[in-house]
Amino acid sequence: MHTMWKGSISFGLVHIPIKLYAATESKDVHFRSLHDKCETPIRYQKFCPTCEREIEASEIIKGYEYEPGQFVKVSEEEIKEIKGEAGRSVEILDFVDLHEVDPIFYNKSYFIGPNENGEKAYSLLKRAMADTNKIGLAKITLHSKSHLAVVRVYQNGLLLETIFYPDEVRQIDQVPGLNQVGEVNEKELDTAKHLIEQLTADFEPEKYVDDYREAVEEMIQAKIAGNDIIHTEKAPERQNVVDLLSALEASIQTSKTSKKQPKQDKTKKTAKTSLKKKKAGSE
Amino acid sequence: MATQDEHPIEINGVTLTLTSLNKPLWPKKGLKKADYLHYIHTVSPYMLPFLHQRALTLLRYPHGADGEAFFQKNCPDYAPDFIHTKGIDGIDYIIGNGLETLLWLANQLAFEIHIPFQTVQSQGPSEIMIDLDPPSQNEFPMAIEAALLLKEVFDKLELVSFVKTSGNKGLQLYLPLPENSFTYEDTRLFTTFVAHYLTEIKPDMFTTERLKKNRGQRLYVDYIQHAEGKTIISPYAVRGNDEALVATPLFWHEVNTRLSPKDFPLERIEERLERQGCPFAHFFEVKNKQPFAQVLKGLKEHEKKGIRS
Repeated sequence: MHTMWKGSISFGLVHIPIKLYAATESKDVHFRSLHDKCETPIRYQKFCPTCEREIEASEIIKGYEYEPGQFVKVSEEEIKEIKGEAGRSVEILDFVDLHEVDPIFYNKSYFIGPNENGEKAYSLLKRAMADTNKIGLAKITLHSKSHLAVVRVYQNGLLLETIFYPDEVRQIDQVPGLNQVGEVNEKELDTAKHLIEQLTADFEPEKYVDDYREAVEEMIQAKIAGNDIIHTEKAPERQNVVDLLSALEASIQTSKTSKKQPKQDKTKKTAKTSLKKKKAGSE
Repeated sequence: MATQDEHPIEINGVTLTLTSLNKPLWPKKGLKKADYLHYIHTVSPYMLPFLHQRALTLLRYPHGADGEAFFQKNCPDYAPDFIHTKGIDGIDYIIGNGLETLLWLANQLAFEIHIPFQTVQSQGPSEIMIDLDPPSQNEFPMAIEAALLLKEVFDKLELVSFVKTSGNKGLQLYLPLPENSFTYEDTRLFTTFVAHYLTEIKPDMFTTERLKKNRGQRLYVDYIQHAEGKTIISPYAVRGNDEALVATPLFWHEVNTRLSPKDFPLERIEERLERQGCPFAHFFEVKNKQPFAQVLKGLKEHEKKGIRS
């Protein structure tokens, strides 16, 4: 597994050297955009409509649009100054109960592994958190952005989940229609609860697969192998194929007994005239 | 600079360096690269006729059967001079001529060698292939049943047919054809006929449905697979599966209910060839003896009557 970040967890006076690894991955099938005519991957240009030319990276600065068309320029140095030194620590601020953090806050998960000489303190923290059933709320700087995060015990290790800042989570009150929720009929409620109980199962994530991705991958593998998927041909009208076989069989027998023809030449001719130049793989 | 793990060999007047002979390729079976190269050398007299003058598509396993594989169609820049290529639709394909080419590919850890149904100089298909692909290895008996039903059809039509395992879960049937005599439209007419023959007599067991989700537990008769530009695994090519199963030519009498797709792993092939020879030995001899033109004539007359939409 690829190390994404090295640093330490600090709480109180304890520092635990750790490494972070991405715990999840998105498996979307990635397509590139090609020019249909020549099948070349297209390139995006950074273009200035005023100067009417392509702009190089060195010519690009950042600006904040405070009202349409009005910008204040902000330099990289100014941003850096505010960020300060990119910290190399996961600073645990508080310990809270897991259920206090609603799943809406969770953003991205990272496995925490011990770094050299951190194994003992790592086990200690893991055990202490498991025994007290607490999770740590922490601050961490990742990809030069400061995040709020949760450190928790996950199976036989520790997990760090970045969480959204409270002002990044929208208010559900703003969803239209929620205030017009009608009266609940007790009888209907019982039926609904009963239905839920009937459908209650254990969470077995292995049961669920991304059908769409599997189908896309299957199609792509087939195309690479030269076996392009084509849409199902409409099945021809049901015909009596078995009868057809008998007819063919009979014709083979007749042709055997009747005079021999220079078969080869004849077929060659038909083959040539009906041979169409077809692009390989276009079918 | 030959290191300990480099073994230059001379074949057909060219020098080829075999490398990393101790590399494990099928770790679960303890098969190393040396075993694979030995295997390829052993089967080469039987395999090469099928690769001769054909544009190859390769599935390479640079880290062995357990690692990631990738398809290769374009001949890489670093290929030695003795590798012949042919440009088809903008792709520079490797042509499968000669033991030196085959061993070089094997040394590159190309396991699955896929071949088109024609040579680079043929006009039209060199043979017909019908792919019998059951939903999983458990339904392999369906492939056996389909193969035997079709064998009966081919026999009635006096067409000589050949059968091999796919190295996965199915069987693949072949009818060699005379060169430059038929078009893919002609052969499609025939493959459509045999596919519909199967689905008509056993609709609950066989299907021509392209979409997997609609096939259910039926065997997919892939009659569309046989077309220009498409490919199929070569006889004697090995799969990158855990069992190192080989796409193995069979004798028709071996196609019975005792046959299992797992019967033919790489390490058993040499003994098999020694004991009984290659079931495809006469493949190329029958090409000009097939009464396919007559069958096709019958199918075309039938089509003209407008029964097929």
